[in-house]
Amino acid sequence: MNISTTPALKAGNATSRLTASLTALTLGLIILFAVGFVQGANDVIHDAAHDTRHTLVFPCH
Amino acid sequence: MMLRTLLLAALMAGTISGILLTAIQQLQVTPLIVEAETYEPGAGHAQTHDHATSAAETSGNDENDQRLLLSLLSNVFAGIGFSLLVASAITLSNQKGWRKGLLWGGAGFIVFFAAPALGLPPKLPGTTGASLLDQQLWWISTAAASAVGIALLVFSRPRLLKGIGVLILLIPHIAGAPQPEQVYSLAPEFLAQQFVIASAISNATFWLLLGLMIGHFLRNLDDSPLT
Repeated sequence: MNISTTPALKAGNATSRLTASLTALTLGLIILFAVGFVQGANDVIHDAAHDTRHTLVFPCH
Repeated sequence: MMLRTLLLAALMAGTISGILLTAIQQLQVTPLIVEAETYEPGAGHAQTHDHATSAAETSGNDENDQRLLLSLLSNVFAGIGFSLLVASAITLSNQKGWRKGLLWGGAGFIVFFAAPALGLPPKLPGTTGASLLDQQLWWISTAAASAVGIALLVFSRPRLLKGIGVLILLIPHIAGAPQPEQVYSLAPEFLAQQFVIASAISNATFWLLLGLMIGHFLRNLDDSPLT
């Protein structure tokens, strides 16, 4: 019964897994770029994230 | 559905590990940063920015509270950001569960802490470095190369690909991290050494816990009828 539907289901799963993973990856990279690399106007982001950057060895100075 | 599971797992693991990192940071790391800042000449900084809002002047509880709050916030954001990357990798490779998660956390520690720190060691405020942009580019290249290198080493079957993985791991270190023309540190050497150790311990704890939680949450959320 399921033989004909299973491959399609699997393909659907694989696609949604890939889409979800890539979305999470992109979102994660954007957040990390903001926390770790952006200086911001008047260094405002740098100053806020200062101790985090030093602790997590993002280049800070 | 799957995206919701991923985001939820990353949000929970990132928030918890960010809070934990803040606790370790307050105990082990921040005191060293604050002490190093006392060696910096007044508000005029050895480098190009001033620490007015990051409270180089540690007098006043308000400034300390603000510093703690901002650190907590950025630690949680960093935790969520790293969690999203790990959750993405675990989902792609379909390796859930806390044991596998722990391994992924270890990989994260190598990719985002150990490998970059080999060339650009944890630095206290008031330590010279090459231009910030050069350092940032090297950091990003090294993390990316380490991720690709480890993935090839672990997941590829042919020996040749594994060998290429090792080569990619080594390339950033053979090329070398950007170094300043003159190396000096305002803070004394023992403080810098303490900072390297404190930083390594904080990062190891942060990463292992983060990986473990992501692996666990991804499996359990997946099994739950809610998602």
